[in-house]
Amino acid sequence: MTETEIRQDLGRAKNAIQDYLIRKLVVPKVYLDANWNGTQVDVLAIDRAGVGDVHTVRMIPLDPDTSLNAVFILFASKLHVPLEEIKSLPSHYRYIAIVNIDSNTRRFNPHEEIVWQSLADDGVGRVGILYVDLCEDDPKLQVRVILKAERFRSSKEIVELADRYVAEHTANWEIRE
Amino acid sequence: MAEVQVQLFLDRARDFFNGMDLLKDDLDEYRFSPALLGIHCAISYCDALRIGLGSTNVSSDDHGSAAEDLKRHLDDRRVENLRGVEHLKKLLSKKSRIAYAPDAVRKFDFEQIVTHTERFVVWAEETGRKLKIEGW
Repeated sequence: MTETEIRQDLGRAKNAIQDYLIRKLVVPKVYLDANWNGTQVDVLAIDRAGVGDVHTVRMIPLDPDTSLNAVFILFASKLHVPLEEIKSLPSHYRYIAIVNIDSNTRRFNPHEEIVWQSLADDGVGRVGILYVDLCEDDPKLQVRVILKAERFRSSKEIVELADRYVAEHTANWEIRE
Repeated sequence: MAEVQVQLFLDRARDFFNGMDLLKDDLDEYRFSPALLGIHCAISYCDALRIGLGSTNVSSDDHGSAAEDLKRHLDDRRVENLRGVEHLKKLLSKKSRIAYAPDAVRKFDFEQIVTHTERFVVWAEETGRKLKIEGW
């Protein structure tokens, strides 16, 4: 694949994740490629017209040549780093999105160790894992939940970050009054 | 007590909204259902706001007076942005026609209801948070 093709596929994946969050949330404001507290996130959604819970998504594209077995290796090794990174993001819901652009890759389940590692240290909150299948024609079926996200603790920092972000940025998707 | 009621009305409002949201993409197949869910979503948001702002009885079926009651509360709090009340009035004015009247309703009217509902929900969520309503 050329760099342009990969960039286009990742763009489609962002759109698919955005659509998923629009359906899941109530009139959210959605931002793409957001700088969230100094960390780049691929999709940021703030629920309830920008006054509700904050959802952050980091994408991990699969190599088109990766076989199913290699996916497990990826889960057990390389995924470890972004998982720790996203666990430290100040948001109520945190997700990793595995992006598949190869029609030969079958659906997979996360390794048990990953499920454990996805939990917050105190158990309040779990990083969700989404699976974005760009080979699926129906956009509504492109994003599947592999591991359900659980809400992290809220904090003054998250609320203030969200208020400031909404005030300073134009959403990629929102419903206007 | 009011805080609990606000949460109950809000849960109901968001539930109706999610139902409308599921059905609105196929307005050729589903028309009255998402429209009524949208209107009831707005009514529940209105009730949550009114209870949170001091109303004690929101059980009346006279929804027209509900919009006026909401506006009165908002005026008391000196809320300048009243666009939501206009969306609400437009939705309430269509309730009987959608629910009971033996009239033909155009697809455009259903689309308008969805649009007004979405805009009303944005306004209601922002207003509830801004006014620091307990239970919001």
